[in-house]
Amino acid sequence: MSIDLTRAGAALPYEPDQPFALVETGPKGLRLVAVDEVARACGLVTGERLTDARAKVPHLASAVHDAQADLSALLKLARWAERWSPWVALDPPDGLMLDITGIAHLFRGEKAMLAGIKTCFEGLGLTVIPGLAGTQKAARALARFSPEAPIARQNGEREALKPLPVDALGLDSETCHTLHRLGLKTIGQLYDIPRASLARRFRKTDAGEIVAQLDQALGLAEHPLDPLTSPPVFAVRHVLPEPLISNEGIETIISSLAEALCMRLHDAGQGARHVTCKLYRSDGSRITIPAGLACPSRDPRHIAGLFRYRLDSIDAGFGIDAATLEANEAAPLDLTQSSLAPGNAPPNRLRDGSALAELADRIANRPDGAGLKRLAPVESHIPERAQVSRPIGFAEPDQPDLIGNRPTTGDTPTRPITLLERPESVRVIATVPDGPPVRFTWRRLAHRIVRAQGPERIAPEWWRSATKLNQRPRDYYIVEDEAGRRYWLYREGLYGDPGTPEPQWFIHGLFA
Amino acid sequence: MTLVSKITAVNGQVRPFCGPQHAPAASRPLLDKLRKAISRIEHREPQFAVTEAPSGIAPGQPSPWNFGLAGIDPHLPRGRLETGAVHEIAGANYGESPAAMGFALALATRLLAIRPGDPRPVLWCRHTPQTHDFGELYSTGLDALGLTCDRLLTTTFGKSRTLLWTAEEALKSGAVAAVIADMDITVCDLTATRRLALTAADAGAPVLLVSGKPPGQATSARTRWRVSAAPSIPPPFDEAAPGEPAWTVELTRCRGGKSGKWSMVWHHATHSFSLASTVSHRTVEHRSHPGRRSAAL
Repeated sequence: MSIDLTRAGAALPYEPDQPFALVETGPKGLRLVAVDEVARACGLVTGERLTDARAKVPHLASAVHDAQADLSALLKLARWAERWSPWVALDPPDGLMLDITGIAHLFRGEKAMLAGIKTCFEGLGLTVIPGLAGTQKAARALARFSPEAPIARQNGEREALKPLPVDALGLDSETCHTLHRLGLKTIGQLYDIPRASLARRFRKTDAGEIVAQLDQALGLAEHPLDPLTSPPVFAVRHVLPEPLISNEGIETIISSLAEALCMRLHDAGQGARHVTCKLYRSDGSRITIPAGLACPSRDPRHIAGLFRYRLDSIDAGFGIDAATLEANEAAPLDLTQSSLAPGNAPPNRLRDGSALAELADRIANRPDGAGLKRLAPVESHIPERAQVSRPIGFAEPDQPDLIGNRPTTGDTPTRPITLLERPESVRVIATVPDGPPVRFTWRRLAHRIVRAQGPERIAPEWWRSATKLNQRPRDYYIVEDEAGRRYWLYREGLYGDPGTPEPQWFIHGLFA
Repeated sequence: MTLVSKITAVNGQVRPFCGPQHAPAASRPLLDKLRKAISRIEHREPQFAVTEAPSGIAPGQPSPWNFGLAGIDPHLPRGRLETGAVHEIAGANYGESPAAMGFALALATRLLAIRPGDPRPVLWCRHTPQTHDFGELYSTGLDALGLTCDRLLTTTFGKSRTLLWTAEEALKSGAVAAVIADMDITVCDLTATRRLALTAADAGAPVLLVSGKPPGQATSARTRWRVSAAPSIPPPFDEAAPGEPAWTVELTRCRGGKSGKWSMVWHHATHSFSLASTVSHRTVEHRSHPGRRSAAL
């Protein structure tokens, strides 16, 4: 695989018919980690030292192996391989594991599926050697050691693995070497040895490992697949005969996928809370577009609409040849009576808030959207703490019994309609130090104050230990300038308070 | 718009709002038919056929969205603000943005008040520079002016285009009773506001474009207001304190209506306006000269 990936890179460091190997610095100089077919035909094997290889094949070309790049390429491939199955795991350094339970029939059987996978990888310039069995271990062994018969029959792992060498079990090289020296060359030979004696022959850990590996390969012990991404609750996929580039085409695909997904959600009585659209490019990469929903929904028009504005920014590359739509989170959603009169939106959509939830989703799922917020009061005297803005769609908690900020009807408003993001310092002239301001300068403009109401003293909330330090009481004034504009000023601190600096004036809000 | 002006030009006698009275009797059915056709094209209720008096609202009908003031309502076509339209509310200068916001809020509150069975909220979209300059919406203060926080949704955007898109989507969804778009109005050209106006007409919900400064170009707004703060009338118990919010409001453009300028006070408790001069014996002009203030009292 490393060779293939290096070849896929832009500039080849060697002639096409020249033997080529990737090297890595080992404890005793450079060693070969991968060789291509020409080099293998010349008699080179991996693990050999480069100097030995050079002596055998003087015209050998070599390049340094980049393990990290290989791993990230493998990860990319694994994401791309989710087009066949949602359960994909890495088998580093050069393998991928796919759980295809209940999937093969979608690809016209196991044989056809393997052939299809092979063709797709060949299209990327990669050689893939598949193996298919009831357990991960067995599939891995078949892929690596039995490319001529890669598929094990149903419950036929035992005989499929029988002729394979013990190295296929994935044991460490020392154990393999010991087994070989003992004459235990194939896995089949291990079947005949009683477990107790197998354990006796080896150190406990090794024997435990051999037995465990064997059991996992034969399906006697559990060996679950650890998938790359948690598999979706519901998923639908669509493979295209020709790669698509245009946004219109992709939109159509997503709409049809959304309809299929919603059908499945409907049958299960569920609604999607979080959906992911995965678009597979023909060059082996993938675009993932997640979208959240404020309320569970299974309206295909709505779900498809969430992706509409995200498609503008995607790069289809050489075209998109497969797409999946997955519901990663679902919640129960009751069946609702749709309108009896065709063509009319049911009137209860407005009442139960689903129209609003859909609007919130559309806004929140735009790339530059901030989401719909609801302002909610908080029980606090401090003005900037008395409000919180919450995204809608969550259960609204009961309103607390507000202590200070509840407006009383009939009075003139005592709180401004806007609160500055942070209080801004103003220069104030007052007749007496403690008195109301007569003149203030804010943002370089002087305002002559005609009317003032105050002070309203707001003391720091001493019961919040975290904010006690450096907090001083504030005296708030509502002031009106000559033009009739109303401002909310405050003086922080007290005059004559020993040990504290002089009080300072700030502007905190604007009245309508 | 274009269609109407063409027809007006052909029938020299026909003028907006005077048409039915001045047109010859024979051409009246034809004119009515044409007007209906135009209204259908423009997606709205007939504007030029003034068949009812501004105050003549049938008892079963929903109450109109107006000011409730005999001094202002006759200036509006059919004595009301149109619900499915764009209304532009600009501060007289940039510092008057809070006054414009307050006026928009008062209009939205009146709209909510005339539809008691309608639970839909008002969406207040804001442009980020506005938030930087004038601060974030403060629910307690909005509550004190009559718009409770359970009837208010807000969202903030850095781009005006996104804000326009959001306003349009909100109208289309039918989930909001009104949209207040608090933004730099200079980006709202005729095309953008025309789109909004058509969507608003389909949805039957108004868009209130609020801005710190008057727009420099033509827009598709049905009415255009310029608002500035006015000295308030002090509450009776505290002569030195500021009173309820007061604004000087100028109707600079109103299709099918008359422009005018008023000073009004907003009473949040009753969701009503009153003209400043009728509340107090002092007018706004008096109040702007602080020297004369004490003499008037």
